[in-house]
Amino acid sequence: MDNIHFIVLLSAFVFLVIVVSMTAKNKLTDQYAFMWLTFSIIGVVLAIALPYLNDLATALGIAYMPSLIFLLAFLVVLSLLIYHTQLLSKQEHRIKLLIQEVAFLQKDIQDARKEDRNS
Amino acid sequence: MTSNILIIVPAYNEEQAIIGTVQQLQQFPEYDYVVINDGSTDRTKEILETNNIPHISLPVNLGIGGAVQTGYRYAERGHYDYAIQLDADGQHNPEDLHHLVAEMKRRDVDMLIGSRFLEKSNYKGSLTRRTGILYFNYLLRMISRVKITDPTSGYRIVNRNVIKWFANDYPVDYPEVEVIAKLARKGYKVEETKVEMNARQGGESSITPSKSLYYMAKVTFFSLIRSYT
Repeated sequence: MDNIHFIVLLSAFVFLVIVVSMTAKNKLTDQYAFMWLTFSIIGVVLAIALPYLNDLATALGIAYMPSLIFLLAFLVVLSLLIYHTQLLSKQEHRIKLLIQEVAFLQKDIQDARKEDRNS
Repeated sequence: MTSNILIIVPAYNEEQAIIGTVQQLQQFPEYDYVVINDGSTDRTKEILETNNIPHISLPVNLGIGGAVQTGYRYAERGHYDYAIQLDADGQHNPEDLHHLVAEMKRRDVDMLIGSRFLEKSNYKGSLTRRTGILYFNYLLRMISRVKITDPTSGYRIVNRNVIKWFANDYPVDYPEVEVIAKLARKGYKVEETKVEMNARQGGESSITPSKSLYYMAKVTFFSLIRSYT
């Protein structure tokens, strides 16, 4: 095993450990915890399979193997970003509804108090 | 609820103008009104409370779309037949309310917009504003085949069907033009009638020249995408 293979393997494992410990401490809710767990396991598998990736890259017609890694990583990060923006929009919509409901409730309470005072 | 018509008055930091606008509205007891205080940071909320003005105070600022939608949701809850949007800054003249309601009932349309430009009126907007209005006028003719001379006017009356729609779905920002495009594309009847508008009594326009390009691009994008889907 050469130096670089060792560093890659180590990083993948450290990442997996971080994800597992965050999940254990309930810092990630279930669906995200599972998503990151999947990603980190894929990372470890790829790190182990690093020497074979050269063959895969050649088979795909890619002369420089890291290009393949970067391309895949970029696509994954891009999909994650869109997914997160979508979640953010959903949250924003829910928060808006909640704010409106709170305002309606406040008005109902104020109106009820006024009626009490008048009666 | 004493009326079947609700006037929605969105207000964000309107401490200078709100009392004047509300006093004018009180001349028309035949209509209910509600001020939507959109998380103002000035004394707007205090003024509304001490003067016993019917209002809904949003705990945080939602922006014009969220504030106006709050009004439509309130109108839907109260089973109002018509809802009228009227700006708090004094630009919209309550003298036109009777005219809006009468024309709305006579023409039996889904949305009736108070226009400054249908006939010659005293309104003089900035060049940026007028260019934008011309552009939107063209955009709406392309997308929805409706001729709207004053598409950015926020002075408008809608019927129960549209109240229901807006209570569920209303754009977040710059909603005026986008909703016309959508309604017209979906077969709702949108027309205009002439109103007078005043210079604002206080506060600042939400549309600065630097924002107008973003405004135009955003409205074009969304009107196209959301009207055809």
